[in-house]
Formats: sequence, structure tokens, C-alpha cells
Amino acid sequence: MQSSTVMIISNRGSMSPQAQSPKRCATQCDATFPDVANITSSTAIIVATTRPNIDRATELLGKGTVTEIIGADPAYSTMPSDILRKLDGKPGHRIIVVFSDQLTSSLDAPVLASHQGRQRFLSLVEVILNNLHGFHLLVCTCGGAVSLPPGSPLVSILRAVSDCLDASGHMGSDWLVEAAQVKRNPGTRLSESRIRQRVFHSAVMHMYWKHPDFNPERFDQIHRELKNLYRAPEPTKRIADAH
Amino acid sequence: MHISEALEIRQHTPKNTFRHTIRVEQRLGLTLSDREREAIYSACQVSGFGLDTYYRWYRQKSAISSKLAHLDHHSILQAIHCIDRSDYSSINEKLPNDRGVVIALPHHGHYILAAVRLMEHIRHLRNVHILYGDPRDHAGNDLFDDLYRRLFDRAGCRAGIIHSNGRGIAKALRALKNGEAIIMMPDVHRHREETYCIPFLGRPLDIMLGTAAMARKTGSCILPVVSVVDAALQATTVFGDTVEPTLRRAAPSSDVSDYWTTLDIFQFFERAMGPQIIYWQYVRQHFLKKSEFPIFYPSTMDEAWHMFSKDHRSNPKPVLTAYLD
Repeated sequence: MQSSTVMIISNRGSMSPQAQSPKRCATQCDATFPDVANITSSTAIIVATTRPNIDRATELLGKGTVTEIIGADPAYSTMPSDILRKLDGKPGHRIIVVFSDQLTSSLDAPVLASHQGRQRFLSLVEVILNNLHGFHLLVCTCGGAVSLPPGSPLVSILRAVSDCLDASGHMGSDWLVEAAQVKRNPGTRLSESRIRQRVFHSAVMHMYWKHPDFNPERFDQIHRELKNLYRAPEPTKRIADAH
Repeated sequence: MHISEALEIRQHTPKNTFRHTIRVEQRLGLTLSDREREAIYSACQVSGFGLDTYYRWYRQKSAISSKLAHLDHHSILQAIHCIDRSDYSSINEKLPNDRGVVIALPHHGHYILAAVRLMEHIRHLRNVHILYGDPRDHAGNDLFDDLYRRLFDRAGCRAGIIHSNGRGIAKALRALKNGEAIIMMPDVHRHREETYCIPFLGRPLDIMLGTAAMARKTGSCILPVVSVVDAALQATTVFGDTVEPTLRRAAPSSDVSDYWTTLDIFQFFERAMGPQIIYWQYVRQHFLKKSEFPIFYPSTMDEAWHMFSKDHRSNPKPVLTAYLD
């Protein structure tokens, strides 16, 4: 198995050449959803998954004001990878609604963020939209909206997304995806991957039981690599501060 | 109905075919979600029964449990003999004289009564113990402790209980090395991430390899045993052929050998339990599963390994770590 690339970003580091701080937004918010009428540049609106926000986003999508909705619920949203594929090489003015709180799977939330002693996995699509596709980010919570201009520091974007999740935690039962947030915990992620590894390992051992003529060296090799995976992951090393 | 035919019946049966009433379930103290009821219905179809049979079985199990709780030593044994009339003397020729034996008994049929009768019979031949989770961590296991105190807890009885904690496992290993018998229930686990899985009645079943490992480490054999139930809900205990963990073809490591041994044990369980799977304690959870066990072939192994090793979900390491403080 090929090892994953591990990159460490500290508060000092940024993927963007322009380090800019988030600003309180001048855009008016209607409850937790911004007024999109005055948005003039490509913008990604990050909102919590509540019934009113879903209704508002789908209504604006129907009118053509919102171009895409990113989320994990196929009933009204599209996966981040599909949206990013659509954006490649196609300039234009777009407004995308991002339900970041739905992006909890290992595929959608690959960044391990450490904040105030707590670790959780966050999504990367907001960073890609902002840094690679020139989107403004508008992170909306009940407490107001935070605006991040294109090319904002990666840490600022992740912190804004993290703060948005924390703020959503105060909404109680109105926050429809609170239960799914457990998937961001490193412990849950580790447990899920362990189960996945063991299911695969079981299928390999079952195959060899059924087909004893299978190449023993190849079986040994796969078996050894799977056993290595069970070992606790080594702490990630600080290999670089990205600038 | 053959298992293969029954397995083809899918779970999505129209709800209006259920002959249950909520009142029946309430009277039984049985709380089922719609999905759980569908799962049990699906299992009933595999066994060729209706839901009414499941309800009848549930009622009988509850009645036996509450009755056993109030009987004295003699009355318990008498009651158990009324329900489980198996001839346990046939086990004698299956037990090796020169080494230990692990008796693998799943939570099927009247398995508690079978365990009592096994202990009652085997204790005249050799020391016998039953290994199960400590009641402090496993709700409901105090029933076994209580039964033991009333039935076997006396000097010279040669029947004992062992709780499956660190000290208990060590005691069980010593007992097996001394040629004693240990009754274990191999269809249960606590932490899913420590399990492997096997194909069982068309679905993946999470299992621990402990039964096979204990037998291998002590040079013991494994005797798979199932309590089967007839139409009158009377029990008969059926015995499989002994499984020899040490006589396996060259396995590259002990866990592969233990996995293969476990497959052998559960092949017998599938044959014995499959036609009447509704009498299995874990039937509800098992038939709730929608996934299938992944079957690989030598020709597809490399492709499967490639896909698995490239999949983010297979490796918990993050692609990026960020410190936001």
C-alpha cells in the first residue's frame, strides 16, 4: 500500500501567497442565510444544515441565483468532487451553497484540524474553492457572517469552518446533521477503517481457504501488509510549514 | 425449504403481508421497529415459518427464563429434561481421552438448557467449565452465575464457570492443557473493530477467533454443538464432527489458521441453524444487514487489493494536519 502524503500546516503557514484575515461581512444575513441579491463575485456560502437553509438554497437553485449546492444528501446537493470537476477551466460568476457540516466522510473531510486541544476532520472543498477557483467565502452562523476573500490563508478558512460547526452545535434540534459529526472524530475514523481493513482481510483469507492453489507468496505479501495496517498510526511528523 | 432457495427471498416484503399485531408484540414485551420486524420476517421465510412461530418462540423463551429463576436444584434439572431430551451419551465417543476439548455452542435454540445438560453429563467424565462474559460487563449473564450456584456450586462437582477476562482466559487455557472441557459461545463479540467476518446465511457475520485460538494454543480439539428446536419447541442437541486446529494445511500464520478453523465451525452451524434460524438469539441483528460478504477470486485478487489500498477509507492517516490555535 502506498503511504498517504502527510502535510502539516501551522498557524504561521498558508497555501496562499496573500495572507489575509477574515473580516466581518457587510452582506446582510437573513437569519443564517445571506441576502444573495448584492453578491457580485463568485462566492461560496457556507451555512448550517437546517430546514430553512435547505429550503432557501433549493429555492435559489430553482431560480438560477444559486449555481450549485454542495453536500452529502443527493436529494438536493452534489458531492464536492463532482462540483470541482465541473468548475475546472470554466470561468464565470457563480454562487455555490456549501453545507460543510454534511461533509464528514473520510473522502470529503480529509484534513485533521487541531484546535484548543480538540482534533476533528474538516473538509477541504472550501479551501479549494477559495484558493484555486477564486471564490469569496461567506461563512454564515446565527452570530453573523464572516467573509474571506479569494486566496485566504488555509488556517483562516479552516478556523472559520470549525467555528461555524461550533456555532451550529448551539442550535439544538434545528441542526439536522448533529449526529453525523461524530464521524469527524479521529477515534471514529480509526475504528471505521479498522473494521474496513478486517472485512477486507477476512475476504482475502476466505478466498485462500476456498482456493488453496492461490499464489502463496502473493497471499503472504497482502496478509503482511494488512497486518501492518492494524498497528496504531504513527503520530504525523511536522515535515513542512506550507507557504 | 432448502437454504439456497430461501436465501433468494429478499427482505423487502410488503408490510401488509405481516400477520403481526402491535398488541401481540406489546403483550410479549417485544419492541420492534419496522425494519427489525422485516428482518425477522425475512428470517422466518428462510426457515419456512410465519411470524407467529417467532412470537411463540419468544413467549416460550420468556416463560422458561422466569420459571428457571424460581426453581430449586432438583426441579430445574427435571424441567430441563422435559424440554431437552437429547441423548448426551453419544458425545462420549467424540471426546478425546488425551487432551482438552472446546465445545462451541452458539446462542441458538435452548442453548442454556443444552449447556446445563452438557455440564451435567461431561462432569462425570472430566472437569468441565463454561466461559462467558463477566456479568458486570455483560448484562443478562448473571442468569448463568445464578444457575451455576443452584446447580453445580458444591465440592467435588467438577463443573465450573469462568468469566472471560484476562484471569479467566488464563484459567481456561490451563484447564484445556490439563485435558478438561470448556464450553464457549463463538457467535458473540464486544468490540466490532477486533472482529473478523465470515459469510453466514448470505450476510457477513462478525466473529472473534478466540475459540479457535484457545484450541490451537492448547492442542485441544473443537466440538461444534447446536441446540435445535422442533415444531413443538422441544430441543435436541446435535453434534458436529470435531475440528482439529492443529491439523490444518500449512497456514502462513496463526490468525489465518484460526480464521480457517472458525470457517469450519460455522459451516456446521450454518447447516444446523440455517433451516431454523429464527431460534438464534442474534437473528434480528443479522438479518438487518443489507450488505453481502465480499467474495474474492484468485483472478480478481490483485484488482481488489489495488482498489482497497487506494481507498482513503482504508487508511486512517489524514492527508493534511492543521493546527488552528
